[in-house]
Amino acid sequence: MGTRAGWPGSGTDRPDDAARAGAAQAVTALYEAHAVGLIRLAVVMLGDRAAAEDVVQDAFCGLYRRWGQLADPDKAQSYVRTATLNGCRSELRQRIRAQRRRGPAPDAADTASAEQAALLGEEHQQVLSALRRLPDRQREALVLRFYLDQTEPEIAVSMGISPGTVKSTTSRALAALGRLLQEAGR
Amino acid sequence: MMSPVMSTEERLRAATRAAADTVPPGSAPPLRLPEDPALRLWRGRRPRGGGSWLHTMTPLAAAAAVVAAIATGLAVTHSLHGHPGPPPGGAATGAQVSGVPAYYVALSEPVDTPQRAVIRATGTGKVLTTVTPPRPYRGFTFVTGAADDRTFVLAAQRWWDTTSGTGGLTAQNRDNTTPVTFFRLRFDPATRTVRLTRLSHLAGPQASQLAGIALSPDGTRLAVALHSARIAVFTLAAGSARYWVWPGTTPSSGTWVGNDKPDGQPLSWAADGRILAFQFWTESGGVTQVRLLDTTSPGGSLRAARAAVTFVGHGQVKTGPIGNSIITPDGTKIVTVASRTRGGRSEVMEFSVRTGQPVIPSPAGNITSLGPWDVLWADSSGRTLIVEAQSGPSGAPLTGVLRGGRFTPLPGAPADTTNMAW
Repeated sequence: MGTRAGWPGSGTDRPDDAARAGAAQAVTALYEAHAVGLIRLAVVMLGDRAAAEDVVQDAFCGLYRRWGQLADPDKAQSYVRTATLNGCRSELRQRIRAQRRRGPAPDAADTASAEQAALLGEEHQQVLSALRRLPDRQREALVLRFYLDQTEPEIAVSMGISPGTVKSTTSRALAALGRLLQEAGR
Repeated sequence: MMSPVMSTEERLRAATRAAADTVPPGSAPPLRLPEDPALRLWRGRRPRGGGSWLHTMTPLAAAAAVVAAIATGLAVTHSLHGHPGPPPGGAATGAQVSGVPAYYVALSEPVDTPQRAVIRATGTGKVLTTVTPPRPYRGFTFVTGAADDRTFVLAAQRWWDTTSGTGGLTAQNRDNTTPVTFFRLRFDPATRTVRLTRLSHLAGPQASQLAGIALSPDGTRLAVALHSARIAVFTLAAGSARYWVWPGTTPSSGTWVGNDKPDGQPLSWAADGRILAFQFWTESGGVTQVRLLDTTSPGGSLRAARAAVTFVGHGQVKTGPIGNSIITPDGTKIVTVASRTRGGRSEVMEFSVRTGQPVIPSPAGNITSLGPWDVLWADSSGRTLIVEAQSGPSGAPLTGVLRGGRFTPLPGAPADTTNMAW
């Protein structure tokens, strides 16, 4: 266990009401400031508004649970951002796993909601579908690079990989995406 | 529909922005927090295209309703994960899980800080002890075990937070500049104590390069797979290492050692401590192979490792392994989860190392009611396996023992089995 004062995760020692209310207020304020941006990020990753909202809700609930463990509240944003990306990854894996069990069907990762599909044109839907078929690291690198406009060093920081790996991963991912789009266009 | 004048990059930018624009400003639903921060707020899946649960549940201020939701949610979550209540198919007992190692180490989920190693009893799921990485390390990221069921090796790395600066958001960073450090963990079941020894004489790779580790059955050597299509084998006593590389591999060649998939470990040893099995694949060729490296032979090329099973997209096995693939300790079979036809139902499959063909029927039998995802452990001949499967339409993971076509869920097994070792 860390040495910082905080809430034990066991639930045996509960925080006092004031601390709990303060945490709820801080997390709610953070949510109001950043929820839309994070839901957008999750929608890009998942193609499903409802699932995206769930992932972001989970991320903030996780932050709330760990609020007392934060040494620096400024890092709260980093927590929910990472948690959102992790949640998207888990959601896509769950879809792939469920698809494996069900057997032949349309693309496992391509389960964008009908509502989402209706909002986007065929061209955009095709690109997003191909994006979701890429391996985790490649997909995340492309989203960080071409949606969030992060630089290679920033992506390296976000993904916890070296700048050189970012370069190669992005390059491979773009090539793979191009191949998938070519196949889809045939 | 594809625009001939737009590059892939431009199409990607346009598509992602269009998707993001479907979320208008101010449209985020209200945040719902659990009343007690120590509890997880279970969220029921909303019907796609149907009414949102946000419309049918009260906001945070309505404490009574939230408390009820928490109570219900916890019960459902526990049931799905097989925690306190009996999992589907009945809870395992000590007798039912005989023939598998008595203890295992599971790493806590990455969202936990620090990532801890939890030692559990296989038969009961009881937590025997928990190990937190010593400072300055903030997380264990991989774990592997020897055949004695007492000796494990853990990979540890530093984590820190740093600002990113794009879009007003900051990012939490995984350590990507310092090397991984390995620790040997010895567990004494009599006293339920562990001895954690830092293996500082092993030159661990950069944290972001580590793809998986496998401890030899006798616990004397550690195989390490890297994302750059390299394998190293360290001798724990001396710290000496041998390295193998796939020739001609470049960062953009799309050649991988290891499965680069969500689940499982990419390396496994035969009981002789000589043969190391690894999965090899290329992005461009669509070929996946399970290759066997004789770690006592001279040379440093992974190409010299014999291809025991090849998945080429045609023939009897039409798809590659879904998750990891492991060699049985007797060295005769490769066990994995695959499907016989493209897009077909996944099943546990065992392949003869000698012929490369499926062993039919599969020695451990199969699961018809559950969808297997990964094989996590195999006994000497592949007749008893520990398998991760899907517990039902919800897709909740379930880990259990497969023997004679019968699947016995293990109580208390964590949902994320990516980092478990027996």
